[in-house]
Amino acid sequence: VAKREQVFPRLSAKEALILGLLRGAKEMYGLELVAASGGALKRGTVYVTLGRMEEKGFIASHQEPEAPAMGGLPRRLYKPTAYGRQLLAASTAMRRRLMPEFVR
Amino acid sequence: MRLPGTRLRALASRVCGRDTMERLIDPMLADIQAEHESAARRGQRGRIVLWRGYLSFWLAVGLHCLAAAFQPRGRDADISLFRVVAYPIVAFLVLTALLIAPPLQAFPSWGSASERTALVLTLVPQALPLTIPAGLCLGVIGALRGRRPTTARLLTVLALAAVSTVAVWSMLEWGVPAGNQRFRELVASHLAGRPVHLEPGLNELGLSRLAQRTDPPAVRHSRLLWALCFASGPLAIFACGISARVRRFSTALALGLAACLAYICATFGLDESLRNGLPGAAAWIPNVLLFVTGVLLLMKSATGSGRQQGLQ
Repeated sequence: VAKREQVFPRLSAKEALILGLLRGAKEMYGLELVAASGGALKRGTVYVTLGRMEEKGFIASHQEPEAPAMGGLPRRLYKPTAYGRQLLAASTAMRRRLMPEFVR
Repeated sequence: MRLPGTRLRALASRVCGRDTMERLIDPMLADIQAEHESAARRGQRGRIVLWRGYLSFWLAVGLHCLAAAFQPRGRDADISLFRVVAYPIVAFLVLTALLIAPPLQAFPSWGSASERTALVLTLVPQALPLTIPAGLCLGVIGALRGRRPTTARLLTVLALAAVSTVAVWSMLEWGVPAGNQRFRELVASHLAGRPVHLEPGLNELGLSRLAQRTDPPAVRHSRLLWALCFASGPLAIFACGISARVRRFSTALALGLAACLAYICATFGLDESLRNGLPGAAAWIPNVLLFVTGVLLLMKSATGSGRQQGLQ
């Protein structure tokens, strides 16, 4: 299975959505993604998905450089990696090519 | 003023590894804090925002635990003490609930609420001598998750096994005889429609009372109970051995479950065979088999890791 994934990595609908949102913006944090998705992403699951995507190398993250004024925890910002961008582009292109075949 | 989630973070840092803290716990708590702060600034009720945040926090933690449990190896460097203790407790509670559910199902519309509560209270001690060692075995497999335990964690598991042994002994001495007797009398009284007193049988005698008996069935039954009393140790060692050798968690869990079921079936089978004349020493066969298998698996994994280190 691992070998097959190396040849053709799978991109779930949620992962594609996150990559799509991140591609358009500079960097986003979890709740921002939830708000931007218009209800497609839930705040209870977004960080689990983000963690999994980071493990797969689709996205990268870092803590925001400035701590909040109230002295709370710094937020974690996410951005797509080059691999993630390529994968999204390939996945979108493939979907565009296959879609007319199914519709016909 | 304490920021929201501070105590939760302190608790999580004891349980979770660095990776989980950085990728899951801290970002979520940062969001909760920021959201609470902006709600307070806008003059909204911060409490509702906070509870909504906490709800999604626990949902995410639950999902993460579920996903992490089925990964062959976690990324955290060591297995936390909390996990080694908490997993067996959870497994033992689940197994106890599963074991008392079928008898309760057999009496769906049985008596008043107080009678049903009494029924549950009599069933729980009867289940504990089996669910405590089985829960320990499955819980240890869950906690170790396909990793060889360090010496410190092995000692923790052995300490847990010792506590379990004492708990099982006390159940077999007092809990089970009292529970069995009360259960029989409750059912008999309910069927007869009047209070019924029954003479205790072999299953309604504690270890010390069984030791006073000299008739062969009682002696053999006593040996079986003593073997059951010391089941926690061999099952815990077996669980450590399985975790050290079997990398995939689901396989290790299936093997642990099979071992527990085999142990329970063997206990009931041996009880019958012992009463029909099998030598009393046979009661210890499951314990010896599990212990030897566990030790061999641990030794084999130690040799394997030693060789790997030598190669490096």
